[in-house]
Amino acid sequence: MILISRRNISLMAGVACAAALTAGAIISADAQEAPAIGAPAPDFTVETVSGETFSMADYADRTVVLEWVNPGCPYVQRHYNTGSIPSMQVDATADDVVWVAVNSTNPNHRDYLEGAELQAYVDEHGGAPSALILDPEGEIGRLYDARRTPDIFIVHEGEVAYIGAVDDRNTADAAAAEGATNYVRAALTSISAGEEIAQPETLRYGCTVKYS
Amino acid sequence: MRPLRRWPAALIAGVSAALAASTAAQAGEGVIDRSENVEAQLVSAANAVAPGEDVQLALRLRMDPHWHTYWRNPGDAGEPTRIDWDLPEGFEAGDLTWPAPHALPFEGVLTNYGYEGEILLPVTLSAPVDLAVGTPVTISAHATWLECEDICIPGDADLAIELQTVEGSAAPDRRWAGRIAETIEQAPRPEGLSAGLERADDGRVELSITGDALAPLLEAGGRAEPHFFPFDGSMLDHNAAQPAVFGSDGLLMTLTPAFGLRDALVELAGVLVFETGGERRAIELTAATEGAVEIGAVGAAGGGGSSASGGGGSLSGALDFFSGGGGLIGLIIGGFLGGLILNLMPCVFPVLSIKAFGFAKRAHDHPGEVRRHGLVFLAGVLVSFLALGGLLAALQASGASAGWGFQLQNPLFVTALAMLMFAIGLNLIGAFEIGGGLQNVGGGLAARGGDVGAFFTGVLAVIVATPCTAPFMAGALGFALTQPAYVSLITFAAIGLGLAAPFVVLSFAPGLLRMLPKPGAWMDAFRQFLAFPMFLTAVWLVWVLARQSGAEAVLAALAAMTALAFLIWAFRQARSASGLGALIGRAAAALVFIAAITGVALTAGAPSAQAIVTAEEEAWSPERVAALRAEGRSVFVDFTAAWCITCQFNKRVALTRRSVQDAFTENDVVFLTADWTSRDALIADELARYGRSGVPLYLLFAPEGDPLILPQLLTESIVIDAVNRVSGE
Repeated sequence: MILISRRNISLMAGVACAAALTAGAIISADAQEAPAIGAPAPDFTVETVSGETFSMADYADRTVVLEWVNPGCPYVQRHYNTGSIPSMQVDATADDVVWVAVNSTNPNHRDYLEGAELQAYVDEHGGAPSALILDPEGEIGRLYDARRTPDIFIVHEGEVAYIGAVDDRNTADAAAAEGATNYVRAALTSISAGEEIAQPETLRYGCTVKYS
Repeated sequence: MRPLRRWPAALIAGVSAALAASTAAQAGEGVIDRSENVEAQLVSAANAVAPGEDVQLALRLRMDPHWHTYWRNPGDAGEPTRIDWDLPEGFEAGDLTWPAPHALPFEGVLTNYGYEGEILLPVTLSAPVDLAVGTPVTISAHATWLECEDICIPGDADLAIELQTVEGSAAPDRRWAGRIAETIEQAPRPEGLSAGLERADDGRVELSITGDALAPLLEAGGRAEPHFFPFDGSMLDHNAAQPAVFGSDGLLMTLTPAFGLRDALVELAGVLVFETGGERRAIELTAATEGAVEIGAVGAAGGGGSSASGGGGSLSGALDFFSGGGGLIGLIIGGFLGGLILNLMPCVFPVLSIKAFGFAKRAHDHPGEVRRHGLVFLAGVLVSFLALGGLLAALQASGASAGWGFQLQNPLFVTALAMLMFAIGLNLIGAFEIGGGLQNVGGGLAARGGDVGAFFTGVLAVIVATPCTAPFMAGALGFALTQPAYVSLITFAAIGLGLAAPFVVLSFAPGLLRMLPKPGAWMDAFRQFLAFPMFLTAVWLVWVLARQSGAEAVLAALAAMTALAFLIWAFRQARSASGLGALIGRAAAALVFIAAITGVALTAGAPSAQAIVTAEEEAWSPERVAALRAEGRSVFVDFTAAWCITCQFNKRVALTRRSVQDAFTENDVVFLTADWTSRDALIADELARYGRSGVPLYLLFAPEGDPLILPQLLTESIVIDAVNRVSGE
């Protein structure tokens, strides 16, 4: 028989408590608040499709656009077929804005594309994002509470500045979207002019993000 | 991803003309057009229209199994169905009438509002006063929608219906008049409800509603599952839970605002949907911003209506009482009984019985000290239960789908618990002894150290009790967690009181203690024997882990348990060694232990998909249930989890028995398993739909109507009776 001293008991109790707290923290991590306007943008570091490392923290003094993309979604197709999103990617990156397209489709879904396939789709449509990111586990998507494609988040100097849709037309039909008001261009213009964004949140539309 | 082309328009026109010319049956029904997954048609309540009169048309949509289209507010994704009319001169079409929508949750991340199966969207068509009678008119329209399964495809249809023109009033069309009228009758409309909005302290919005039309809802309480569907998509977080409190005159729903309602309160209009007595009711309402309306005394409502659970006669009725049907008092009694029964669970009993014998030994010499220990133990139990309840309530408030046993969905927690059980077993069998910490068998402790020991025995009792959901407890907790935080905390406290009760009673009644056998040498043997239930609990937890995370996690957990045993052995050896040798021995043991724990952390965290459902059990999904019912088959859904003892018990004694299996086969009931061993928001949502926060839940669906909810404790006859009842025998 061995007697473990009382100090060791408290040590063991401490370890047990720490384990319980860790478990609690892991569980509650899923339940964290979705980002709100003005709140710090959740940080993440990930390898891009082209093999570079992308970290939100590296762009704390810049404007970053996060676009949720899924080429299988008719609403995304509308924006790529009409050049609406590709032209914004070209213009924004020319203005020193970082444009990140994230695909959170899970690998078991029929819409899933490998990195090269996604890159090819974006290239074919004349897109020019700063980074293309695959998020097969949906971690980044859930971090930002992205629910639809194409959802747009604009982060300015580390704070969430815009959450919403590309434009005011909830339709996959290009003809019905003619004359749409583009919220993202308006927001980026306001940011570069140092003005307040008139509509920092807009009604999002599109397909569900195909989370696993 | 373009949809397959629909039928060429020319063909439609040709078929339409041919049918219209050849048969009167065509009147009242337009041509059918299809997209990839949806069939569309215009139908009419009358086959003719008169000058200056209205006629009810409807857009009929029939979705293929698993596919859905959307309500006027599609929710988080999707697009409402639209219709563009091409009408003859002078005709006018009104707006679509939208039947009550269904919430369609998707992966727990978002919620859409829409329809599955077949729906009618009625619309009023007005004919001009100067309509020329005698020549048929053709009403044409182009309908567009979004059809979704796990992918979404835009769908559209070119529609036309021909109507005769007559004087006076037109005769109703037999096929469609009734169904269109019924759809309009059931569609939500204002029924004199008063509603107000107020900002809650946490930034959410409280929608209070009163009115005579709510009476059946208030009577059914939480089981009516009220849900508010806003017309404007920017007002609410569609995916957030809508906890409701029921008063004597109305209900108060706490809604999570989206950006349209976040900064300032604006008028909020939408549809309140609830189910009572198997009937789905929908009422339109507009909430003013002037503040709350009075909903009357809270807790008074929710009488013992038993329509929702008709499972097992009086047993079911009793469970119903403890599951919210009996109000707060029922919850407290149910919780207390559940806590009391927890004492007998195999994981709790050894820990507490040893403690009780420790009492017996000391009660003679130090009765005062034993009483104090009893109270301190009670405090330990209550604090732990309230902490657990608070954590659950906080998780729920933040929108996570957590329920009782949620911590067991975390493989790391399961591993830690298995190691704790193993360690307690080693301790009981005498591999090592803790210096008067967990149980006071050794005696001779300073009073203060004993207090700490008693408190942590309480904490330990709660920790080891978490895998065991006792009867009565699940129902009480399930309902309590759908109630405001204070109700669930009171219920948790009641369970804690029940768990601690035998102990506290013992410590205050030395007379009872004397009835226990006298401590002696036999106690060592008994104590060692009690190690085996603990080892078995550990074995069971490792099995849970295997189902959750696969073989690697089991390997890591068993290695960690071996390392734990090694650590204990090494410490023992080190005691007899001296100086450097002891130090090296302890350091080596600690290193091995840390390495093993790291291994657990790396492997146990990753859930393995293959472990979730065994081959012979078909996995549950709402779509699968809908599809089977559409085929006219009945469905039994077993909401279960590997870590749920009650579930495993029911499986052994009822569900897997030959007689039950035969009853399923004979009555063509399909058995689906919803395995909640790992986190699954879809299952959590479905549990919440039936007012539960945890498993087990047994649902028996007939092809039509509401499911039968079976009791949480099953017997062969309960299941067989239910199956026979559903099959109409």
